[in-house]
Amino acid sequence: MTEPHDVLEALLFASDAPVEAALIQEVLELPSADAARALVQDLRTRFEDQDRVLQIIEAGGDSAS
Amino acid sequence: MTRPEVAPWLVKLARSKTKSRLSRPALETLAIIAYRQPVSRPEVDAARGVNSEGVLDNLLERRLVRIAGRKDSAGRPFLYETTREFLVAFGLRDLGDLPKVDGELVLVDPGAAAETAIGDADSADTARADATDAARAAADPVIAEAVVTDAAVAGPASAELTERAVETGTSPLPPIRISKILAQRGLSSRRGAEALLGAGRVRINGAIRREPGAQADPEGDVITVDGRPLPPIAAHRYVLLHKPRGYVTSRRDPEGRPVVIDLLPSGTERLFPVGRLDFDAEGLLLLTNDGELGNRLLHPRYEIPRVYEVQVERQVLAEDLPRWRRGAVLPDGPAVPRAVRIIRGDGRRGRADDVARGHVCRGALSRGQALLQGSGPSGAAPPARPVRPPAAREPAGRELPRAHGARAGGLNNLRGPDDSPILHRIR
Repeated sequence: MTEPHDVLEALLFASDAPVEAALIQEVLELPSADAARALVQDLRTRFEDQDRVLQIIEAGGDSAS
Repeated sequence: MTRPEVAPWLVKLARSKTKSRLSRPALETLAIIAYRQPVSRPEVDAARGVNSEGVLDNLLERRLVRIAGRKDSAGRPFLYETTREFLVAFGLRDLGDLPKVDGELVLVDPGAAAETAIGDADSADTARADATDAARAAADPVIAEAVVTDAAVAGPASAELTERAVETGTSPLPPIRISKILAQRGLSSRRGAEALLGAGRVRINGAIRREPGAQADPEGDVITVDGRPLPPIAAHRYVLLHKPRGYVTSRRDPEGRPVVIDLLPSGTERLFPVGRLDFDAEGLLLLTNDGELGNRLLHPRYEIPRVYEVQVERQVLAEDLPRWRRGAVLPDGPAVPRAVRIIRGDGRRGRADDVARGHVCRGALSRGQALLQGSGPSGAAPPARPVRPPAAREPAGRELPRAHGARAGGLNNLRGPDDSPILHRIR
């Protein structure tokens, strides 16, 4: 049930500051920072598709929710 | 709330963040301040056995600690205390929430510190060990765990501390920031020094250095500005100036208007105004070649509010205050006062704390309320020509502390809403 994008959502939710792609990569043990960015994009698309009230924004190359 | 099953990843997130955030020396220093606040740097140094200046700057920059005032002892060192951000970062409700540590955190009296270091290495070690314990205890569980992990990798914590102390001891003059060196020599403010660096006017051993954080050894390296060697360290001078209207608070005005430096007796050494009063404002201004003091008073990092006492032409009523408190947008950005209040019953005098920009009087002007000159009855016509000296003089006795509560913690009855000192007075 706990998919990578669910974990990412929790990370962004629990962090008080923007989370860097490299940090997402490290925590989720992804192969590259690009994979982390792709996952962020995936989550963003899901948010949009489900008309969720949250949105993910990027701040200075980092991502935050 | 997040669901429990994602907890492992969140723990991982918290760990990697805190590890990169606070170094062990920073945590140690923070813990000493947390448990012994308000505390001065010599006391922190004595407890840690190493110089804590850089670490303290770092903590100030992160707003985990702030300057609480000055200690009434030799040299009047700054006292440090923890901030609300510190409580938030460590998940504490208040200081009473700090974990209790067994044993006393011994702070060696800095006056006796040198003696102790030579004569009684044991007690210094104890103090350090205590400080390390406190550092661990003060951190929340996740951070404490991170510290322990680090220590396990790096070997016994005490061994590492001793090593570091020895290292510091053998290097007599660590390089310091060039901006600081230039400020010490009275060449410019720290910020001005960064501009000099950026303009490529500073050379170290013949090579141009541009980066603002560039460091040098003031004794060993040859530092030149515009090809000229640095002047010797200037004796610090402080001048209190009653700035009249019609003068620019600057050393030079591109438009050729009179500047406050013109008011100083000829032959006065190179002094910089600390803070500024606007062209149309008059009031007390401090000038000095003490770049360090200037930096301490002005850099937003230290959060020293500038408090202005302003007299305005039109009566200010209590119901006008919300508008005043909203601040004003000035040509160089918004200026929002931290607090505004009326201090005289006739409603003509207001006081404003402005930490972001010291342009409260322009804020007043932009509301169409011209500043009045002097403290006399309203409508007193300003003199056509500015007041000449004795407008400028050196502060006498305790006056410097008076003009700058930040320097001494004096001025008991003239304090801002959060116990902040008054810097400028515009009458």
